[in-house]
Amino acid sequence: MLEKEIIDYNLWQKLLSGDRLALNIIYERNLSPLYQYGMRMLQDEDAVRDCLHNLFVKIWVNHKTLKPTDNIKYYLISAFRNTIINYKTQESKFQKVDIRDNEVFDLKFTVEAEYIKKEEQNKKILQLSEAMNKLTPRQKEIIYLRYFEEIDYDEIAEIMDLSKKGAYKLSARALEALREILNVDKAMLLAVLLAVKA
Amino acid sequence: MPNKTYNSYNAENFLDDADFLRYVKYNNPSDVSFWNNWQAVKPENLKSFKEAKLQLQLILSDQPKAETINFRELLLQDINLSVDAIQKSKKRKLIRLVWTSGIAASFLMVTLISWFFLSEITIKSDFAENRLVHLPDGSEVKLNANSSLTYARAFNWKVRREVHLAGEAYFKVKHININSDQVKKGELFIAITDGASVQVLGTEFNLKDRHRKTSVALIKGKIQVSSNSTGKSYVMHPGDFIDLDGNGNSVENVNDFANQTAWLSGKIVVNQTTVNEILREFEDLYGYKVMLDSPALGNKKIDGAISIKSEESLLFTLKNILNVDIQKEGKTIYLKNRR
Repeated sequence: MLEKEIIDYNLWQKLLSGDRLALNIIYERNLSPLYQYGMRMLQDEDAVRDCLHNLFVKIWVNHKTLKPTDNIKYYLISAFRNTIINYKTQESKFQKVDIRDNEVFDLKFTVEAEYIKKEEQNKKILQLSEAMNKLTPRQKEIIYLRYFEEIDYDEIAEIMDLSKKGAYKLSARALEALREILNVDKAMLLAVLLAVKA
Repeated sequence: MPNKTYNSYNAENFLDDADFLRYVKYNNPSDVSFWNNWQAVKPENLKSFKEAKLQLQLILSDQPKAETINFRELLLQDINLSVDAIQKSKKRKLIRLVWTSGIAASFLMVTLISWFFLSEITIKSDFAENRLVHLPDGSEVKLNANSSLTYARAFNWKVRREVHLAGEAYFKVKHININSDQVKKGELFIAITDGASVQVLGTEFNLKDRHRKTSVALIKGKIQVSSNSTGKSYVMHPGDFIDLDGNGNSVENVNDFANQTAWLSGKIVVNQTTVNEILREFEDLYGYKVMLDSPALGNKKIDGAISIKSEESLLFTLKNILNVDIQKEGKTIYLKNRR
């Protein structure tokens, strides 16, 4: 872990000093998680492509003034999220649609996979999956960043611009929503929602 | 494999554990064998473990969204093309900046230099005001009232030291000539009036140019006076005095010599001088217009010294000598015969 941080720090420093090769290496190493995150946010490959293009060109243009970092993926996802939000804002201005009305975070929870089917607690897990699929886009995004991208809650709070209090409210609302939807085992519910806590 | 107290973990703890996450997510053989061993002893919290594993599998159940190799390579190409274009335009901007700032700097320098070499300094004395001017070469010029002296800002850089005078001034020219057989650049001093130019090396002289008449009186050294209209030159020696009228003809009058520098001590020394001439001097110095009752009065000749330190003392003297009444109306003075 520590070694990874040193590698990230040195690679980023090379970029800051104007190394074009470093920009290409950073692209190769981080494109996949960025692409996946972008697709879940935008559900449109052309839009994701535009945003990724803007992100990397902007990083190069501003390379002299960027802050140092020892976690490039976290830095990029954070910057990419801002790029996507700017993109959405511009699109909504163009199309005159409120972005909040059609906000989607494309993350589905499915029990069809073989390994889940095998288990005894089938019914319970079906209920849970149903409940989780009804989470808000922001809650799904938190879960995605935590378990797919393995980003710490503190960093997620920063990326999504959530204060601790705001994050707490978010999970509390989610808890209430789930309780209303179904009567799931409370320990299980809490466990899932802890994941939502930022 | 980290040695943690997994036996006391509940489902939440498992969900928060990075090693547990890695096990469920990637199924690495070493992780799988560790957790199989851990389950084999049937720990009390085996149920929590299974719950957590199930939930995590549910959370991670969505299919990954992977980009195609085509997408990855083409996008990188596009990014590099954009970055290249930006680099090029930056370089072009820099080159343009260097050029434009270079041009601007040289333009500014040319402007400054031409301003320095082409611009002139003019010093003016008001009516009833004498001024002392120090020239850049160390020469001194005492300006009489209502006179002006003009010289180049780059006075010391010129081939010859050149000043232009309107009115009257007393010159103390600094002698900077080393070898009198060979007059070098900048050693010659020239004072120019409308009517004449005075060429000197180093000397003291009085130069007056009023009403198309130029008068030069030499106190020290040697000077050459040239008429601007006839081009005729006169070499003068100390004590010499020369008058050039509007046509450039010399009207020498040796007797007048002392009069020429009397202004320096605040006097006019007159010697068979008409009242008209004295009044004209007064008009020049104090800016008044003097009107005489009878023309005859103006032709009256006077001898002696009259103080010109203040207009009051001058008027008082005239009043007594001419036996007239004085009436001042704004800038006009009327001299009226007493009846």
